[in-house]
Order: sequence, then structure tokens, then C-alpha cells
Amino acid sequence: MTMSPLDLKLLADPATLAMADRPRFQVGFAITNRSASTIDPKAWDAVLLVNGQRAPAWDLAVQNGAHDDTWTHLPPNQTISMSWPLGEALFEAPGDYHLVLQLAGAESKVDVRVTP
Amino acid sequence: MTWDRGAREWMRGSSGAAEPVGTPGKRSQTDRLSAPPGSERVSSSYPASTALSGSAWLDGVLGFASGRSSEHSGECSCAGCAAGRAEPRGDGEDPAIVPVNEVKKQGADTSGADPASAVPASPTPGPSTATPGAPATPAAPAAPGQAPTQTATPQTAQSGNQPAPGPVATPPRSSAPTGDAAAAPAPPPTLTSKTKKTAPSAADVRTTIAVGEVVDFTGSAAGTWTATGGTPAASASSATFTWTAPSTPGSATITLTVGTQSVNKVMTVIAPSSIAMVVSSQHGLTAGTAGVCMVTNVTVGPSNVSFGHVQWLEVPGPATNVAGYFTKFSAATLHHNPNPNWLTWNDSNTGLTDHAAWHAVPGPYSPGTFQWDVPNKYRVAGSGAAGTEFTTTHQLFAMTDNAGTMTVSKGGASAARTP
Repeated sequence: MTMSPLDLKLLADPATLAMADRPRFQVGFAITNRSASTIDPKAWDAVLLVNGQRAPAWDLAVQNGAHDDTWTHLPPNQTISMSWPLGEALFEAPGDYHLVLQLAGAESKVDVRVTP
Repeated sequence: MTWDRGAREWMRGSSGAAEPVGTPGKRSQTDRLSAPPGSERVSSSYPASTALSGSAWLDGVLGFASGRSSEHSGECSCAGCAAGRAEPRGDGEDPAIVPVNEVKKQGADTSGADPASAVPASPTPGPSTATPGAPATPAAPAAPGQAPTQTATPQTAQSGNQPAPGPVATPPRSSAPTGDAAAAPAPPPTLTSKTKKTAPSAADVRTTIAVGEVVDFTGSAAGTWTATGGTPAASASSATFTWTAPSTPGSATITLTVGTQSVNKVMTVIAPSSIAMVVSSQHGLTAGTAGVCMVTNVTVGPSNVSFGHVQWLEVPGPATNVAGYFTKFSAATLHHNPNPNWLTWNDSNTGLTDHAAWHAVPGPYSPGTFQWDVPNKYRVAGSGAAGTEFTTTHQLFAMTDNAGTMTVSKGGASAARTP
């Protein structure tokens, strides 16, 4: 298996929340370039699985929007990160949710509990 | 040209006609002699016997009018003769004052005052403001028989021990101007401006600038600077002034004051008003899966200013006109969640990209639409402000058939793809 040049981290905050607090929930990513050269991390290719299902709300968030040059030219040891308020889209009911973020062979996981 | 003629032409010139040739000293005289406040009040105390009216006052002052100059002799008490003799007027005052005040009133007259009001003022206590060496009347050519006005000597002008209020100027009438060039008022200051950044379609000397734009002003001389908006609002004396436009549109006046003179320049400050997008690339998507993508280069307008100090933010919002295929998604899923971070334009009003896409749309497919109406905000970089909305862009997604063909459009750009 090829080592990913990216250090990928799934950001989810808070990890426990009530249904009424879903608008405050932020989910996102932090991508760090661990290679020795500037790379295009292709952040728009990051896929978020929620309980094993691809989340279209994540797709629309990560694949739309304005960016500057750092979005596609990430220098060594530099990090780009971004989060969006997707609680209402990702958690339709109370329960435990297993979130997995995948990008270029890298993966990051977070468990979130949503209470009534 | 005779002196009489020259003098009369000089007087005509003083009332608006072209300045005559052959009147040496006229310029410096009028420049230096001004009618100070209170001069009329002082003149009212002058003895009636010396009051002149009409043009006689001038004849008297000059002492040679209309070929009658020879008539002035002996004890003639006209002002011209009095000036010429510099003799006591019989009012107990120092005779030296007489020509001084006459000269002063002449000076006043050269600015258009009614000659009748140019009655010589009587001397009153106070320091003299005389300016030795400055000719108070047109310097008379040294023509034979025409030396009537040469008795107001420098000593008279310098009679500082003789109190004379106010305004009195004084110079030797026959002397050539000396040192008057230094007394001439400085020319009004001028100022130029140049923007720090170059706009795509306008020169740096433009007076229309973007919010937060920085402009260098240069004055023709050092002075104090003030601005009715932007920062700084004022500066210490300097020949240059670097100024940052305010964060909101409007106008601001930059003023340079040098001594008692000032000059200003009005700067028109504008905000972004448009956004335009042009497709620059598309990402490769998975074959057989519906999806559409375009990456666009974004330009903010207008182009006649530089928005290099301005930031851009898209405002989140709900999807609208949701129809057909897309009704299967919740409102929360289709909600627009753009980049939450402010982005700064480059000096050419571009340098940012926008990604409008949905890379992998789940089947089965059928026609449908939805759109995002995206308010756009601007703010000046570093201001930390909440931003001001300036235009709304519309991003439209459509699935046009059951095969999953999709289109996307935004800001004048569009893309289409069949899986």
C-alpha cells in the first residue's frame, strides 16, 4: 500500500449533542501535506461516510465554494482546514453515528452521539 | 510713453484692464499693499480740506494730472503736492504720515475700490506696517519735469516712531522696487495622486478608487493634510500623504494646506458591484455516475479600480426551485454551505476560483432542478467587519433526462455532462 502524502483529520464538534443543537454541529477536515513538495490535495475528493453511507450534504459542501490558491497548492507541512454546519443534514434522528472521512488512501474516524 | 500716460494706463490696468507696460513697481505695490480692516474708519478723520473726490484724488497723489501738474505749486494742498513736499498739513501731525497713507489708499484703489473712498487716512497711534523699499506708487520714469512724487522717502516709510495704526504701507515712490520678488505671494499649492495598486482598466492617477484602496498624494510644497474620510484624517506637515480610502462607498476630499492657501482633490470611493465567472477547468468524474463540475476563475468588478484590499464571502442559504429528481433530498442536504472563510482578491480583481459541482449524484435519475441564490459580501481586508452584500449570484443545478445528464451554471459560466 502506497503511503499517503496527506495527513487527514476528520473534525466533528461537538461529539455529543442534542437534536435541538444540531445547527451548532460543525464537521470538516484538516489536511496536512507530509510530503517534501507542494501538492494539490484534491480536497473535493474527500468522501464522508455516515454509518457506511455516503453523505450527499458533505459532497455539496466540499465540492462547492470559492477558494484561493492554497486550496490546490499546499506547501510541505502546511495545513488547510474547513468546517460546515451539517448537523441537521447528517443526523436525522437521535442515535450513535460513525463518521469516516476518506481521501487519497487516508482515513479519519469520529463517533458522534445525538440525544433526543 | 510719457509718465502721465503711463500712470493713467496703470490706473486703468488696476481696474481690470491689462496691466500696462512701463509701470515698474506696480506689481509689487499691489501685492504688498492691502486695505486692512478699519482703514475706512481711520480715513474719516482726515481733515476735510484734503479730502479728494472723483479723479482729483489721483491727480493729487500723482501730482501731474492732465497736464495740470505744473499748476500745482506753492502752497497747493492737494495730496499730490502734499506728498511731494512732505510738509506739515497743518493738523499738527507728522507730515511724513501723509504720503504714507496716501500711498496705502492708492494701493487699496488698485484693487478696485472707489477712488472717492481713498481719502488719505489721518495718522493714528500704532505701529507702522510700512514696508521699506516697496514702491507705493508706480515708479515714475525719470523724465524731465516730472518728478512730483518722490518725496515719500524710505525714511518716511520707516518712521516707526510715528505711530500709525493699521495698515500703512509705504515706500519710496521713486525708488525702483527692491526685494519685492520675495514678498510676492507664493503660487497656490498643487497636488497629485497615485494609487498604490493598478486597476485593470484605469490609470493610477484616477480619482475613482475602491474601498480600502491606498493612495499616495504629493503636494507642490510641504503642508498639512486633511481628509474628510478614510485614514488618516490628518497629518503633520509634509509634502506627501499616504491615505487609505474608507471601508464604505462615497466620496472623500483630501486637502493640502500650505500657509494660507489650500488645494483639494475629491476621491470617489466605490464598492464591488459585480462578479463574473469563466470556466477554467473540470474535474474528471466517475463514468456511469451522474455528476457535473466546473471550476471557474472569478473576477470582481468594476475594473476601473483595484479591489486588492477587498475580501469576498458567499453567504449560505437554502435551495430554491427544488423540483423533480432533487426533491428526494432534505432541505438540510440541499442547503448551500459555501466556504465560510473570507478570501482576498488580488490586485487585478481576480485570483480566486469557484468550484460549482456535484461529483457523484446517486441514481436512479430523472429530470429535476434546484438552485442557490447566493448573496455576496465584501469587506476591506483587515477590518474584521461583518461585510456588506453587493450582488447575488445564482447557481443552478439541473438534471435534464433519465440518463443523469446534468448542467450547472453560475456567474455567467456553465457546464454540462452526461454520465
